[in-house]
Parts: sequence; C-alpha cells; structure tokens
Amino acid sequence: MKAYLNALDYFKFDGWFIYGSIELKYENLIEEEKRIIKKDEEKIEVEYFYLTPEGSLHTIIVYPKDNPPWVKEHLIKNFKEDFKKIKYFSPSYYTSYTGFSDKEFLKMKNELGDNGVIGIGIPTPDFHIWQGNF
Amino acid sequence: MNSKERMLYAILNKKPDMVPVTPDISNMIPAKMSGRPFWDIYFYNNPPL
Repeated sequence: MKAYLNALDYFKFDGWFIYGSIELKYENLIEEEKRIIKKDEEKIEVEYFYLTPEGSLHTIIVYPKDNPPWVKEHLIKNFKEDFKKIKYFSPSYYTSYTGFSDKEFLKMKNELGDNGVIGIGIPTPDFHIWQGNF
Repeated sequence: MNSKERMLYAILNKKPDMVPVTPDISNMIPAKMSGRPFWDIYFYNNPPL
C-alpha cells in the first residue's frame, strides 16, 4: 500500500486501488502442504498438496525469476474422479460463512484518502474461475 | 478536483476535469523496476500482493 501511495505521488497518477479484499471467515476443511522440488538460478518449482476430506489433489507451479508463475501440472487430472474433492475449494458448497473482517480494507481506504478510489472484486460463482486448474 | 473526485466522476459517467490516469502497477512493474526476482513476490509473498 505504501509503495502504491509513493508511486501515485511520484508519477502523479489517479489512484484506483484494487488490490485489497474483504477477509471472509469460514471453516476450512483443506490442509495444504508444499515442498520445493527444484530450484536453480532461473526458476523454483513447487509442488502443492491439498488434503480434502475425500482425498488429496496436487499441482506443480513454476516460479520463474523474471516472469509470473505458470502451472506445470494441473490440479484437476480427472474431472469425474476429482469433482468430489474440488468442492472443498468453494466453501459455500459445504459450509456457511461465519463472518467477515473489513479491518484491512478500511485501513487501506483511509490511507488512500483523496488520492483515488478503492475497489474489490466479487467473482461470480461458476467454473470459469477454475480455468487454470484443468 | 482531486484524484478521488476525478475517478468517481469517470466511474459515474460524468465529465471530470481531465482524463484519469491510473495504470495497473501491482506486480510486474515493481518487480522489474526493483530488480528483485519475481518469486520473491509470487512465492515468498515478499512484499505481499
């Protein structure tokens, strides 16, 4: 946030801060583990394991030194087989939200002040948000 | 007109005093400009996104 405010001041931009979010509270039934499986001067490869009540899923993400990460091995290998597990990534399918915290969001809004507007994204529920996982 | 007013005018389809300029400078530009490896941001969450 501080870096963004400094950039606004330096470049004389109008702020449109869209990098904050509301923290949703719910019972998370997924345990996550990760391990670095390869590291050299150009990239880090990381394997992520997600343990759900109905089995585990894993994915491999590559983090290049000079580019954003990309998926080397996708999370969902067999949709029919994995469907019972992936529902645990969408809490609204198996539990209820117990609350939320807007503390960080309001703090960011106050810090931005008259330098711009602040916004958060609200994704629509559907399978398009899974595009990177197949 | 301050930046907040200018952005709100544009979002509400009103005419601001000038065209708002608000590039997305969240991840890639800070990483490139600072010379830090991208994995600092995306894997080690330093600084956090």
